[in-house]
Amino acid sequence: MSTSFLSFQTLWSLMGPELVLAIAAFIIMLYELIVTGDAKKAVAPWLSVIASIGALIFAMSRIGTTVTTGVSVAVVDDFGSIFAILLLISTILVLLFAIAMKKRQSLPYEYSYLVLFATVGAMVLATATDLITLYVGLELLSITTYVLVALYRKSPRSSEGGLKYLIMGSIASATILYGMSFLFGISGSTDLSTITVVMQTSFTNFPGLAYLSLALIVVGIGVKISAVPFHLWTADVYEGAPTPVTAYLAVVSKAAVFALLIRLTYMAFGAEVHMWYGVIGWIAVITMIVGNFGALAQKNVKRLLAYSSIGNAGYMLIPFAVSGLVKTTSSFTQGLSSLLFYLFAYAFMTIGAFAIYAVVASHEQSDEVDAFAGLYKRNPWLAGTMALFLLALAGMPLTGGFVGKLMIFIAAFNAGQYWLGVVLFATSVVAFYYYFSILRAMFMTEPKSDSKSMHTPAVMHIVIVLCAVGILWLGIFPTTLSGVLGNLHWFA
Amino acid sequence: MYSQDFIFILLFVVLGLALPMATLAMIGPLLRPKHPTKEKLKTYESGLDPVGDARVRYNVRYYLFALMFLAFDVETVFLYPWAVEYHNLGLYGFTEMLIFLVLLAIGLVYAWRKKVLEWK
Repeated sequence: MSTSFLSFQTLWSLMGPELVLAIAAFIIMLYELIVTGDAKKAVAPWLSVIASIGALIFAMSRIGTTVTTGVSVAVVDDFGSIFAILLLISTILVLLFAIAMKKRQSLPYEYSYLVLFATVGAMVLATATDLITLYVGLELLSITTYVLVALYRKSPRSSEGGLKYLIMGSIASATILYGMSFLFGISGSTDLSTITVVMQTSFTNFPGLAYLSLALIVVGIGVKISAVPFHLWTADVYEGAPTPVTAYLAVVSKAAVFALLIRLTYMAFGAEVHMWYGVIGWIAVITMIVGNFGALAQKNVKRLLAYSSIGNAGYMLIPFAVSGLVKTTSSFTQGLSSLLFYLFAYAFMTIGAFAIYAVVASHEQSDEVDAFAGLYKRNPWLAGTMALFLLALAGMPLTGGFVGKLMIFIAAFNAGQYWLGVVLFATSVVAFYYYFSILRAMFMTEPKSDSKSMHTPAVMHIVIVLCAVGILWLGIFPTTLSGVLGNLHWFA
Repeated sequence: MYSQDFIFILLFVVLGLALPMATLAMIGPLLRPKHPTKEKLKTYESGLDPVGDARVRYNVRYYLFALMFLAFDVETVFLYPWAVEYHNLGLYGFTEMLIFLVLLAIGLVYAWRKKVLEWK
């Protein structure tokens, strides 16, 4: 039997951006070990930002190119490239956000390379086409984020969040692996393209094993994207984690697992999508309902945003459920485009909202909605941008959030799934109500104390401006992104 | 379908459960003599008189050492097949393994610098 080796050259052509990031992470780790004193705290995170920007440029240059090799490890296709761009932009924003954290709340500088390792795992999830590689990417992302959540070693809540995330995440990973084992059992291969061919007939030949595998994979991924009824860890972990890490979990971790969900599920089970899309649709419906109604009861802003991110996972499940239903390329492209557009908008508005929350919460020493009381009078700039991010999350026109929801809505209608569109619309109305509680605190209540003006680090302003510009750009000129998305050749 | 291949694994599971059950629980009590004395019923602690509670709290530092050990233990697991196939893999395999070893060495250096190896 001739074994085809994965040569270094092939690996570089397949996973260039990932390798750039991984090598940079090791160099930063060594730098951090060699240099002593305060210098490393100042330099190491910026090195990570530079490495991420380098990988981002690399990933952008690969849009439109397709590389497939005889070796079943990964492919370069537009699906992977666009997800890599999304993940890297979010990572850069999160890194800047973490750099800007005030001295009192600054993270141990290990985060600067842990975030890079997690992002490598996330990007592998979007590009890999082999079950083993996918699983290694998933574990790289998961294990690094368990550590990131528990990074405040002295804080009991951070440790509690880390332990909860470790236990739930490990069970989810094990469940996904168990599901993958049945795929291997049916097809005798870990290569996704082989599995695709074999699974065309497997639903009739081995229905039990095929559906068992699908169920295990969907449940495990459901935990990772915090879909209801697998969402119970979300609020506690998001609350306990350092705020930049919360933003990372809500955006990068979630988006990467969506990439895994789409590639794995469509390649392995896409042949019988009309048999199971209803289950995904119902998960999306209860996720939207529980996420948005759960947020109504929250007084803690971080928990409120956690529930909002659960609701957003529900919105993002809709294009996944419907995009394979109508068997045309345009319908599939439309579904995936709406998901990617929403993910970009979601990244900007979520990271922006968490950034302003971090400034206000660290100033007021309070996580509650009351901390925002009278923010408009004390710092109109922060209040204004926070209002923008919240209205975007709620789905106000002229923001990226609105266009993203509209695209998902249209995708659901074009696939004939009106019920999903109606629930999306109804729960968005509910979302206005709880985002309004923060808006009311900011604009309609008096400041609690006549405390001194809020100091915002300069880097935090950069994060806020970037996120605000991103949101408005996507809202006012949506065709710049949706045009690009519409012309992609998603899968190799 | 590959289920035929897995029948052997099922067979192993069944045998693995059945053999100890048969020997320890059914045949054993029939064959072995039974003369319990006070000394024989004592907890076995390597021939010494048993002291204290069995549920001792270990110092958490042991776990750090255990983790370090685990990394290098797994490393040897990978080194054995590589050493056997060394001549077939050639320079490519050598480079691959070198990268692997360097990455693990970075882990060791990290633990060293973070004072994991010091008992205090």
